[in-house]
Amino acid sequence: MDLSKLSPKQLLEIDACTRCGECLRFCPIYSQKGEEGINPRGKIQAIKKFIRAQYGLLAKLFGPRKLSEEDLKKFSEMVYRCTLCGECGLQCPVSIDSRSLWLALKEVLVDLGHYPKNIELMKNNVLSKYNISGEDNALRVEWLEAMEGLPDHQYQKEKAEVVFFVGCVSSYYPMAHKIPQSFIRILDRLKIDFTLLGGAEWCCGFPLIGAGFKKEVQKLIRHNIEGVKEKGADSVIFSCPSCYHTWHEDYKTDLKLFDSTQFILKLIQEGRISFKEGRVKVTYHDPCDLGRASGIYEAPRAILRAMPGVELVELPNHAEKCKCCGGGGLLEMVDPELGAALAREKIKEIQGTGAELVVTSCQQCVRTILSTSRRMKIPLKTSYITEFVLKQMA
Amino acid sequence: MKIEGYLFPDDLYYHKEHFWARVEGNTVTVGTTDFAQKLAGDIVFVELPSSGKTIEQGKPCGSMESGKWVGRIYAPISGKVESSNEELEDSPELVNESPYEKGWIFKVSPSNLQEDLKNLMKVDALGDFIKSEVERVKKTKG
Repeated sequence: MDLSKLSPKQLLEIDACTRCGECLRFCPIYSQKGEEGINPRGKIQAIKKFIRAQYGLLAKLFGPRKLSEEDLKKFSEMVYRCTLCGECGLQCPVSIDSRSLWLALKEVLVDLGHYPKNIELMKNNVLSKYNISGEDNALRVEWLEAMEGLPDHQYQKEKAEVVFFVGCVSSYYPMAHKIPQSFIRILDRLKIDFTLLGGAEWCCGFPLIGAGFKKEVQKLIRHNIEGVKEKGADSVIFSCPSCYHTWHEDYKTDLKLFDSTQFILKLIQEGRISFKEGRVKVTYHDPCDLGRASGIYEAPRAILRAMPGVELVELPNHAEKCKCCGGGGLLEMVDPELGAALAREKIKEIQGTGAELVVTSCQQCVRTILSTSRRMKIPLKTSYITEFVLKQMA
Repeated sequence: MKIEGYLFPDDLYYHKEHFWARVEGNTVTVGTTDFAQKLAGDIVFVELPSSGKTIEQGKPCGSMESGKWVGRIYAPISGKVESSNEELEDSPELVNESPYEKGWIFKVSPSNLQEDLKNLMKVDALGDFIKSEVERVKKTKG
């Protein structure tokens, strides 16, 4: 087992785990499965065992013990059955940065060839077509076709101050098309000088990083940064929190990066957006990659509070304690039933608030909550924040 | 009529992308077939073409999504969209529950009906096509 994918800090973190089990109280997977193996503590104990077998005292005296295929297979099932929600890390008494650790463990497993094989299709799509869906990348802006009154440039200008990086899910999955559609309506109404990259936008690389193929993303990173620079833009705005987080963590750029909620809040604070009066009770679901991963909790709430007549009622588990909807971390690909079980829990929690509408800031959360509620035949109204902002704008 | 266990009403015209057309006077109603809805699984979202949109036979004019699948809606007939089934916005499952009645997708005012109909299949010509599609799906699923 090659441990070079784990940083010295991560090796120390593995050693530092005291097995206190605090993470078990918060892990959504453990709350569903109840298996010691599939939880943060179990994963750390398993990797600790592997490290000892290969690098421990006995291994030094008698040579490293070969890892059994069976054990590696089981370990892979543990590591990939994770939404990367990061709640375990936030609650860990010894501050193990678990989200980064799980990503590194996936890299170790990819090196060993132990990863779910259906991830291969997604990887090939991203590396050959530059998007997760496998469709022609020129079709990234097909969602524009449903819009009327488009300008001649169809929001794909030669030069602009701001680039709106749409992301694969909102580009290719119809349930999320309203997200970029509503966002560009807002930007257009406020006369923001923005452009899309169109077919020149490539996947940000997050699905590869989330699957353990981090070494493959450099080409995507270089291409996307060049694409933005060619437009002469100094800012990039994102409606996908995973794209936003990936750019923040892995792109090493001097470009200014804004999540949609930060950008809209800035416009409200500048007095450029005003809202009409509306009587509606809403709740807000914090996406994992926007909240815990990026620390953005306040901007969406400030937007909702700026809307007269909109009553925000919080979920029992909100902000840093918000439960993952089940749509994160490729779980949908690896174990869709487990993802759906998390989504059902989320829907129950939303229903308990008595809100008429759940607002969120992630396309994957919208898709997961909406599709699960429809399968449960629960008429739950779900809206991405830009859709709601556009609806409430004066 | 049932073909390979899938229902195909006798009075409809069928497009090879698995959409049907029902001609009633100057209006053609469009939907997806029982075969397609069963293959797609639970439809959770339908992106409807907007009223007034000009559509062309065989070209995509909307899309649908189930948990495991995303697909385009292909126009079986050219013309102008008169109306869309707005009930599908909140209840896309109607496509599964009633693909030929309550799950209709849009109505179109045809621009070249007689010529377009020549490119569609009636149910008596559908048997071999559906059998080959069933085989194709089996192979794809491996």
